[in-house]
Amino acid sequence: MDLEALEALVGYELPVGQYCITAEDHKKTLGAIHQEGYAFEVAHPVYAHLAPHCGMGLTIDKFFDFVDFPMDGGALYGEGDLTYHKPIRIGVTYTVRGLIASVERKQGARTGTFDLITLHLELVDSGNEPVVTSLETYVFPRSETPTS
Amino acid sequence: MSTIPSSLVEVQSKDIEVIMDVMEDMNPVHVDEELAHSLGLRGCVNQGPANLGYVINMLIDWAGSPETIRHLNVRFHSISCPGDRLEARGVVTELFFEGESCLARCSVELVRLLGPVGEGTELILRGTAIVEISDDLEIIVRHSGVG
Repeated sequence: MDLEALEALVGYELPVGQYCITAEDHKKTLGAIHQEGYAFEVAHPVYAHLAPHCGMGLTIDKFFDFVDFPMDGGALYGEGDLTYHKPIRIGVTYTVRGLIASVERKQGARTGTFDLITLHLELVDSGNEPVVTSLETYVFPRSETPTS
Repeated sequence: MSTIPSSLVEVQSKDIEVIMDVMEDMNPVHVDEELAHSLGLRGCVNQGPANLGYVINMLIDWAGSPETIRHLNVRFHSISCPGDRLEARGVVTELFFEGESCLARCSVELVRLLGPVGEGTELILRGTAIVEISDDLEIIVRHSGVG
């Protein structure tokens, strides 16, 4: 995808999505991040990333399609910025709004050309109050296979 | 600076698969070692959110509650893979008030231990966190010289 086409995506609003953390998924997540002893009523704060990411109105594979990148192309989560406005609750259905906030093409000595694409996602409750704001930046290598 | 007690974790393939399931993440780079190597990566990629989760665990253990975390900003410098032993570390760099809440600005990082502790590390992620702390913790942090 050429840079001009990519930059034209900035400001694109993702379809509105929804997400509810189930008790089962929450328990599985706690085990997978080695926090089995977690005994709090609110969801683990890692859900400030997981809930908006999983609930955004564009699945991650469709997002990759949208930015013209194959799922097996080695894209990575490069940066995260999470602002907690309210505790995240288990069993509550939240709305997720989002847009493509920025696009940047860079050149790395080891990695070659890569794109940084940032999504701005908001998890909001039934009263339309923000619960979490999440900026997630993905690294999309655009060159041939990296050298290291 | 005041040091936050560090925590250790070992990355396991089964945990990566669980996170894939929870996130409905079909990216094969998490489970296909041959693909990972072909992309120049040293192994299957543990999910970034899991790495983030290890750092958050350290902060919860220190501050006493998940509701104390107000903000996190992290940049990933490298990947973690199955079998890696990771250490989450942090230091308080500043205390400030928001209303009556005492907030600690913390520098946090996750490193891969390259041998027994002390034999070298590779940086996985680094960032900052803002955490609300209790009166007792404030006294401890101030005692260490952080103002």
